Amino acid sequence: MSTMLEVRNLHTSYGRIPMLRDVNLDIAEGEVSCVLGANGSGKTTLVKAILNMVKADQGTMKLGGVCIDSWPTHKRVAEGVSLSGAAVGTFPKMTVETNLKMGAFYVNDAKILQDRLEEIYTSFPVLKDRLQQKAGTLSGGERTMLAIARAVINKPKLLILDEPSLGLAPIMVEEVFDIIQRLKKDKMTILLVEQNAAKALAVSSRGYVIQKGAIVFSGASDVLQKSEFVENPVM
Amino acid sequence: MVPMGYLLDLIGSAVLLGCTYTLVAIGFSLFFGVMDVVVFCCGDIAIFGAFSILASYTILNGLGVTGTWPLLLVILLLLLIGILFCAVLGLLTHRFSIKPFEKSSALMPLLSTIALGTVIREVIGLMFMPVTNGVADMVAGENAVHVVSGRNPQSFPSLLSLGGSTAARNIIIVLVTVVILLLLFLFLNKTKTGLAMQAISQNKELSLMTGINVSRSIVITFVIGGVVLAISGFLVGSYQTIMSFDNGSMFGIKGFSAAVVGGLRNTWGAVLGGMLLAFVEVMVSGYVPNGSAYASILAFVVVVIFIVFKPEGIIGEKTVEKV
Repeated sequence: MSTMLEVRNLHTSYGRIPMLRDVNLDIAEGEVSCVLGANGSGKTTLVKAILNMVKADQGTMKLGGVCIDSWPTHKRVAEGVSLSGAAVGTFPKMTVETNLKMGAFYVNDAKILQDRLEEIYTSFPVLKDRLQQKAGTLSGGERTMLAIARAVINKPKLLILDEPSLGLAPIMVEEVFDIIQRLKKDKMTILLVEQNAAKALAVSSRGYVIQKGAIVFSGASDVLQKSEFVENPVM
Repeated sequence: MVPMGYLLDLIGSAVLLGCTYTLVAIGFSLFFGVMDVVVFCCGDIAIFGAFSILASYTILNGLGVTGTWPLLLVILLLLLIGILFCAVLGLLTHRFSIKPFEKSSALMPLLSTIALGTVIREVIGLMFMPVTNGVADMVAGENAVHVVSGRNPQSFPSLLSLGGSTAARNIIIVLVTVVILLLLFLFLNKTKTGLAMQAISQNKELSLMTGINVSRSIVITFVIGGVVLAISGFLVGSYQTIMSFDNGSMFGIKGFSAAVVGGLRNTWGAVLGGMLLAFVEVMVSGYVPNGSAYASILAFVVVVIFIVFKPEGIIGEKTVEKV
């Protein structure tokens, strides 16, 4: 299977404080990979660096074999990297429908857009009942659904989910992971960034552990499951 | 008992004044929406537009164009010139007063745009220094007041007063404002560029993640803001008929107050705020003896009341952040 996203020797810093150090990732096409790490370990920085919202000091990235180092954020999104997550949020004063349409910002054909919307309504029935409601008035769980749907509608080559289950009630967490399972079945390439190690490892086939800005483990999820990293309560 | 006709007249003037405030207020709220900073030179940009129209009119007049070409064509040409000047000025404002301070506190662009406003004012003053007031000469003859080597008020060409009627002019001013508002509404809600601008105003980080070219949208906003301000300058000029180089500072403060009262970030808020401010001013000067001296003061009292009791404005929403 070919590699969808390849990250080599990525270094970033906030001012003079180094953040990520020598990060390497290989996200295989059609697979779910997860990055596990505690708060402040650099997970979100990694995600933002992939989208060029945090500038990399060093390192190169390839998307589907093409070097994307010089691409600004909007180009990376247009070319198929979508990001979603609980903290990413929605456009609060826009309706659910407009939020979804903003997700498909680069789809100009009205017919294709309508088809995509229909697909989303089938996979996220919760949203269909709320189309004309302002996103800011949704419940936390519904908003997370909307955030994921907004990223999925773009049909990304790589879907990055940054802590999608953060702050959700257990029943909603289940639902979020059900969606990830479904997307996995559709062969979507997903990079799942999580603190919930057990759940994340259950859906993913490859796992990374990030600590203090460096990848300290990379390997198959079932190996990671039994390793010291997952048993370590700090995680 | 004050006659009914008088009240209607006052309402008419208030709506007119409100229209001029509204367009400047929209400039403020557009810029605030995408940049989260107050661009304080909006009033000066508008007055710069008015003066560029005034100057172009004088030049066209000198060429003998104004008499021979159809009036509508002349007006459109002048508007186009004003719009071009203001759009460029909007771009320059962004480039030199906003962009260098992107990473500093919101106070920096505020100060730098206040400074830029002063520069714009003084440039207008300098450029029009040798020009004496034609209207004063005409009306007062030898007694006309000219400030020696100073900056005399200028008379704005009365292009909209069809056949010398102010009623026609007033209707045109209100109509143009309504049309601009409608166009702006359609632009913001029906075009991708407009939706992107709204998205940036609601969640800048998510806009980036949605693939919106945020820096380009910001530049476009400044161009559009410049266009709106140019038109508002033209309307203010036509309404006031006499313009001074420093009109922009008061005009800008009124527009800003209107935007704050209505709720920054909200286009309709700008309309409501502009109208409210204008009504307070006009009613005070109409009903309070010697009221015109207090009109502006009371309008600002309203602003203060709003800042104290409803800081988010008439239709501004409170920012509630849920995690």
